[in-house]
Amino acid sequence: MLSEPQTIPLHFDKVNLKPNDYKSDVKPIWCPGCGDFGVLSSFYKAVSELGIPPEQLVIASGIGCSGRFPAFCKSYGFHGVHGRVLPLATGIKMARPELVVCAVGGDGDAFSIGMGHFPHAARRNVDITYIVMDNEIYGLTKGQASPTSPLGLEKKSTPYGNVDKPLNPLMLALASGATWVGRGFSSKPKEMTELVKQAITHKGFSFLQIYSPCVTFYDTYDHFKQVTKPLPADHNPSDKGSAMKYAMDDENLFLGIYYQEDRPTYDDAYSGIRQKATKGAYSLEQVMGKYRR
Amino acid sequence: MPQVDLTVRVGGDSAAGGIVTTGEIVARIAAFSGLEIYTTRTIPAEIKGGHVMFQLRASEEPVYSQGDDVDVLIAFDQESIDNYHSLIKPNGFLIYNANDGKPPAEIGERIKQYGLPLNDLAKQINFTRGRNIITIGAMVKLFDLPYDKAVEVVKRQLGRKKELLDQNLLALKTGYDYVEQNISQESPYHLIPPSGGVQEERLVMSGNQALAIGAIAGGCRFYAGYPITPASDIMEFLAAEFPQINGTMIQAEDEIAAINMCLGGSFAGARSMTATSGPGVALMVEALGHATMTEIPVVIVDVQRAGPSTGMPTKVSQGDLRLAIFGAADDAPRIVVAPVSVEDCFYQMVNAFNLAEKYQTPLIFLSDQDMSVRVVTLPPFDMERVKLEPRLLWDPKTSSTNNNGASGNGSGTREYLRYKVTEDGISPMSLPGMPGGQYTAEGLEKAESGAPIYTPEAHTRNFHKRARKLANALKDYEAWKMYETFGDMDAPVAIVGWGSTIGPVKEAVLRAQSEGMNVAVLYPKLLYPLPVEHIGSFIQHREKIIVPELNFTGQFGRMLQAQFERDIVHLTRFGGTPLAARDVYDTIKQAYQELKVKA
Repeated sequence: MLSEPQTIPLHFDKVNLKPNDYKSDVKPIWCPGCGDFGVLSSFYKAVSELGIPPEQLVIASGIGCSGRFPAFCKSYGFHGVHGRVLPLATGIKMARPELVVCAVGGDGDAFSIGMGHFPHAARRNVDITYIVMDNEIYGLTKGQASPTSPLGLEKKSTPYGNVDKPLNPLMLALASGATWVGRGFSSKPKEMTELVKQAITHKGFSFLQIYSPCVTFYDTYDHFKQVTKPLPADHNPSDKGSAMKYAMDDENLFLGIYYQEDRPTYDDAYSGIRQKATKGAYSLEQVMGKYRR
Repeated sequence: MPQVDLTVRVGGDSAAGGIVTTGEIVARIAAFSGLEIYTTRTIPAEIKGGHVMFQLRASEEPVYSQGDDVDVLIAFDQESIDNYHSLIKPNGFLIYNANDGKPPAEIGERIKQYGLPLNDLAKQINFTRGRNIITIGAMVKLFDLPYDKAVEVVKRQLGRKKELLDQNLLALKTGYDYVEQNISQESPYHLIPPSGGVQEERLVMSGNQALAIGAIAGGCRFYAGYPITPASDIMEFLAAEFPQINGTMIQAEDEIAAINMCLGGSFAGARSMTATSGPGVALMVEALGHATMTEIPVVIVDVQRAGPSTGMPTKVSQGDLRLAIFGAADDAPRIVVAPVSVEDCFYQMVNAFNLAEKYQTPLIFLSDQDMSVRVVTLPPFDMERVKLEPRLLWDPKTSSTNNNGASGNGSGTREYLRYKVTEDGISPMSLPGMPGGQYTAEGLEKAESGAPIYTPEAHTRNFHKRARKLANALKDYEAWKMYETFGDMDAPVAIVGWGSTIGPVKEAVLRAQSEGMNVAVLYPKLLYPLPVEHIGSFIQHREKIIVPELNFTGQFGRMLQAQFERDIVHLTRFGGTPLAARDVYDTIKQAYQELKVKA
């Protein structure tokens, strides 16, 4: 399904740790059977295979079941407020570009309360990886419709059926200028691990949507098993038109790398600004001098 | 009384352009000629069109307020003549555009009037937009300011475009010559600079500029913000400076993003800040609580403007005190600092960063619209006074087991306790990249390790920890002398205030004391935690306590009332203009009259 990842040097000396070495002693609070367990395992595996030192890895999150993700990892973590994971991760990355920064969350966090930040992180091409565990429902608040819930879905907040047309996260990412866009499914751990690795390795804003069903409030395992399939072999991830065509397909939900592009990252661009702005020695005396009478 | 103490008001419509520029240039010419200046302005919130007022007070001695009445009114249009002529003091004079306005007959002989045919003069030199500069030239001659200084300032302020500069200098000369040939002999005002010209070293700058320089001096290297009047020029200043010092400035998509970026930047180790106004702080409230909970230092500047809601974006207010102290879900203590002057914006910013970092807490810095745009003369900042207090970082060497979770050793439990309960409440903080220091900054209630936990014991213990931690700031309040006090310390009447009202208060108290009405004044610059002991002992034996502030309910006064159970005389103004020295004086006088009646 996946091509060999393009190797871009990351900022650390690789370490040799097993996936379990990235596991913290905080036990996940997820319901048995939750798709997020699969995502977490694939994540441990991916960062282990990439050899990322735990102290160089930062995982930021918002609120929701998937927002608890950082605490289960032996990396640095930041469990932020609802919907603000992207600004949080942007701040961390821009203050310390040498760190590997991942943002994680759910569909409510990403596409409802946090939607205002998504296009901006994408267009800036902040060099972070954003993994959205999409279960098409609000799980932590016990089963209300989310921005990716299908039309007609009858849940507690939509007793007569959902009338809000679901968003298309992949199209949003592509239109906003994300430089890496992919989709996985929590029941396909091998492919998912590979996608996480590639998303982290990509230099720029990587958006990875992972279908991660909620067994308690909206069990969609069977549905996703039926409708997901690998992206066709002839799909070229550098072709945005092709990526959009497959992203818009309502019948088939394709898994794999939709799109990848090389574009200067936000921290690269800001380094350029620093070079442009710097005019030799700097002192506050000099700054004050401009205001002396 | 100083020999030179002149208040000049300039009024006009911003559609004609350059009213504030006119005022600012005259102010700078006065400053460059050796005078002390203090300015204020009201501008419309709209970009094109609307009434603009700029007021300059210039004196050979330090000036503390904008001045209540005006000596000279420069009216570019009829509205300015009509609105302000009654403010002109006896012996004052009115300069108006004779081509675009006519003083009402009732002014009569009371004040002198000079009509400048500004449109005609501009036409003569083929420069219709030159009316402002012609007016400046006229004022330079009217006030006997040195012409070479005027040329220097015009070059500095408007010198970017060469061909336009030549036109502007011609306009300056045109106005100067017109007054010399037509009215200068009668002019009763002479702003002759003190002998020898410039005596003291002075900076000429606004509150936001002083604040931004203070942020740099305070070690700030990460800024994220969203444009809002009257805070935007802090962002613009740092956008130009930060890239030169390896700092980062991000214009965020909204205020919520801005504060969360700052939390990320600070978590990663950078001294971080954002600047906004009341509506922006309202949006940041959730993240502020989060900063308290995760114990992450961050400085939030609130340049207060008249609200609520959109209110009057370009007018002054001190209405955000309660929001700053209490704006949170549940009890989320943070530090609140308020500078008292343009100069103080610099020093208190340094203190603000030191306090935020030392106590790993959000800190709200309460400036206001008037202070932010006001251009004044001030002594150069004393860099010797700048001492940076570092954040207490975790030292792996002092930890009994330090390699758990670090590279090369994946086994074992977390030994580093990010939220370790300590005597002073401050827990050593690790930064990403430190092996073994991994933890999750957690918004949930938590164990010392940071792992979420919901027990009554943990929640109770952490409330105490968070409050205990901030109480330490009261020691710094004393040690760093974060207050100003003046007047007669034995006086029966006290004024306790905060923020930029100190200027008019100083002026009023000088006047009252010269008439035998003594007043003791205290301005704490740390408003939360409230310096209860210091304020308490200061007001203990006073018979009257006046609290001046620019908000409707008397927010600070009521805090003091609740804390000390004392009667407070609330001197509140909330119309969107700065406090007038006269109002303070009248309140002092009233207090003394009441004391007399009581006796």
